[in-house]
Amino acid sequence: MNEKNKKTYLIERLENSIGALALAVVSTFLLTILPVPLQAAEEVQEPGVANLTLEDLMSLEVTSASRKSQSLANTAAAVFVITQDDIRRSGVTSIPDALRMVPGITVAKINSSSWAVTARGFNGLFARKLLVLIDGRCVYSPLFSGVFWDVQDTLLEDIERIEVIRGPGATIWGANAVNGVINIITKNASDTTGGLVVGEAGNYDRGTVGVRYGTALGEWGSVRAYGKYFNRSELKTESNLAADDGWDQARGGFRLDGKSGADSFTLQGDIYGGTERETFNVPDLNSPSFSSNSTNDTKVGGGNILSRWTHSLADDSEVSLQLYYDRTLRDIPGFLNEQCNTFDADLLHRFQVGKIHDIVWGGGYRYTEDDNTATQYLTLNPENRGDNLYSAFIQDDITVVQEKVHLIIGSKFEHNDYTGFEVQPSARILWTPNEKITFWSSVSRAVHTPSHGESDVRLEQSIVPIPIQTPGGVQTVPMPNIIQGPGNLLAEEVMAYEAGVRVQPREKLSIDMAGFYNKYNRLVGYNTEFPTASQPFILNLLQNNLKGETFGGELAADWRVFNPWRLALAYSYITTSASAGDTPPAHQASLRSQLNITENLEFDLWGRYVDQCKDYLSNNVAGYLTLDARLGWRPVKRLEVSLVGRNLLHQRQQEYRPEFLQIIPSGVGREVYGKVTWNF
Amino acid sequence: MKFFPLLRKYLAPLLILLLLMFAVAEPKRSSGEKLDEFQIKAGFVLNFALLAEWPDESQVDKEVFPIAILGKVPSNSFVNTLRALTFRGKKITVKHIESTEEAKNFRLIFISSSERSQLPVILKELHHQSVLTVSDMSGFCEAGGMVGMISLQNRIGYEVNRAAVRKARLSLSSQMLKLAKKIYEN
Repeated sequence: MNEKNKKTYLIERLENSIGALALAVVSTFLLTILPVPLQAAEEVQEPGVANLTLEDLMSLEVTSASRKSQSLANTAAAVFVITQDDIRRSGVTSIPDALRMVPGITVAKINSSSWAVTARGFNGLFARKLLVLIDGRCVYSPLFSGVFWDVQDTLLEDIERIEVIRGPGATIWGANAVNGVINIITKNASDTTGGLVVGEAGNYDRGTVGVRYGTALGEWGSVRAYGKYFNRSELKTESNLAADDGWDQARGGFRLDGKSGADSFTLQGDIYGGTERETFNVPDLNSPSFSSNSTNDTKVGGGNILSRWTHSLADDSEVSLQLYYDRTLRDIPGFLNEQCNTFDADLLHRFQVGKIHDIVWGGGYRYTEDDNTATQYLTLNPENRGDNLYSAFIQDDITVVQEKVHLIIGSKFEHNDYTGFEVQPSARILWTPNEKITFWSSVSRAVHTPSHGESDVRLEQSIVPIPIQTPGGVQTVPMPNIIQGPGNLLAEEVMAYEAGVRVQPREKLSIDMAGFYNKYNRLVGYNTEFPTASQPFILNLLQNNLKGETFGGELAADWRVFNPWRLALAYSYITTSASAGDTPPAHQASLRSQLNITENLEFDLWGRYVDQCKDYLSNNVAGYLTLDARLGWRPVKRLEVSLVGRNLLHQRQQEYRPEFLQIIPSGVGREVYGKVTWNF
Repeated sequence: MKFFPLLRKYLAPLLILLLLMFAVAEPKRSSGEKLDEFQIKAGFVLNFALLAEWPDESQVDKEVFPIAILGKVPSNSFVNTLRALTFRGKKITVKHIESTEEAKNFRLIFISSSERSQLPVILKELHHQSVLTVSDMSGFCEAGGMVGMISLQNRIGYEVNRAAVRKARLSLSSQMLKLAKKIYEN
């Protein structure tokens, strides 16, 4: 857009933001002063333990006063927690689908086995501004720094909670936590003793079966083991034809937790393998359109093992050592034949200095070995890479005014084999004027470091007919369209300015708002060069030639209307001036209703709205409004039967079109399934 | 037709304002906070009292259920939570005592882990009194205490010494015995 339009656009945006800011300030001011006269009235204090029986008390988890775990209400960042109950009652059958209830997160299904998930813009099959961890193990692929969501799974009943932090979490978590961090935390083995059998079947979910058994090990520990298999059907393409993209996967694993005095220990591992059918649009000289569809079976597999030891020292300090090994394999015929091994060691120490400083510092080392074999359309040069990542971080939570004002400053220091030394500092301030309201604000810098794929790839993506000037006149010549990494990419950088407020105006209502302004630099885009005599192909060279800004906000509200009925609302807004990649949906909203009709009968609804967006080629992807419904029934104490309907409002909905790899996308349609869960 | 773009633009702030206005109208009640270790232990103490039976009900104070803490008070939240609870309609009072001489005025004594070294003497002095002894120090029941709260990984449970309970002419309900992690008979 030209300079004049840009100016009016910016001014308009500024006016909007000032208006919204003024509104927020006035409203929260009203909130804090108005309830004061009401507080003077007699307070009815019914302690939380008042009506708990011995059984209830024995089942509560204790955060002992000595281990200062930071409650999420005191975090100076935009945090959202998905609980196990949220997962169970939402009717989702995969982790990415559970993320749809989080404000600021965009989830789009590409085909039956692929998702594009991001926070605050920049989505894609290889969205890479989000750091994802499962129990402390980093799960993004070193090949593209993105997450292959098809293999991030476990028995959903074993997930304790999913913590989502929007905004750079680089200070503690490291590079690639540019727009957010997702922490998937599984249950402690002591919480999963006994047996569990789960079975599901429906029109899309052809069959899922899961088994888990856990037992205590004396007085000091517990262990569990699980197995899961699922078979998912195909979806429909944009032309409403069967997409032939069904997939299945088997996995198993274990987790052992032990505690003895001041030491606690965890050992866990998983192993999985599966097959996914996908159709790609591949270059084909013999076809009139120079492309044809090729359907093949992608094979995936992998395993991991992780151990963590935590030792509590006197006076509120603790030391923690974590080691893990992760192996993944992915074979996409024609495109990828990759094996990746990761070894990671992390040390963390947390301690207090007087009543003022709460310091956490640590260091880590990660070795990543990414081995590839050249395929028909994609090669990497070098094919095999062994990369070292050294990191250290420190963070100080300074109590400026006891119980009221905290200043948190810290930085992460990393050295990687692509860009060398990177520093990611952040400063945050937290203000709690009373126990019902918290304000926070932050400034941070975060980077995304290049991956093996971005730096060293060469992909023959398509064949494009180009008019060429030849001695005989203008001729149309089919030219390969090549995407290539330059071998020396720089890190993408973001400066993020954020602020938010968390308020609990009533016992049963809580509201969480966050706003952000992100300024990106050195974003990776393409530099396209047309064919020449010495370069008989179109060269799209990856370069750090783009910048951009995003601006937006999120709102999450949780309201227990009356005891058996809970409503949860999530809303996000984003506007971007970045010309890299896709354009995110401006508005997203999610409203969940959980109703306990009787003690044993649950009726849950989940409505979602996602605005239209643009894919990486600037084609429109239509917005949609959809609804999921679930009926859950507990006929006897240990048995739960549920009936779930998903995406009920449309026959077929295309949610995304992927960049880089020309996967034929398919759309989600109406799903119905029945599920039985039995505890013994 | 012009209304819809306008509504969309202001939908978010409008929604926020509506929610906030609605929120301001209600008076404050106690906030639902996550319970800490000593709040949970206070809950246990209440349940122990509810499931125990004392021999002589005639002398009992009709208004108040008195609890004593012998030794260093483990935590303010422990005392505050106990004081906020009610025992069968009666208010619970918590008093900090320094010696067992005052014990006869109480129905339940919480013996703090600070008194570990004095435990055999304390229990001997309380022998003839119908006072329920409770503690969270390790080895309490083994040493002759009646109900000892114990830490199990990241949860709390308890043990019972039946002999000690019987000697004080008290009795504990079978439900309480059933859920005990261990029962000592001597």
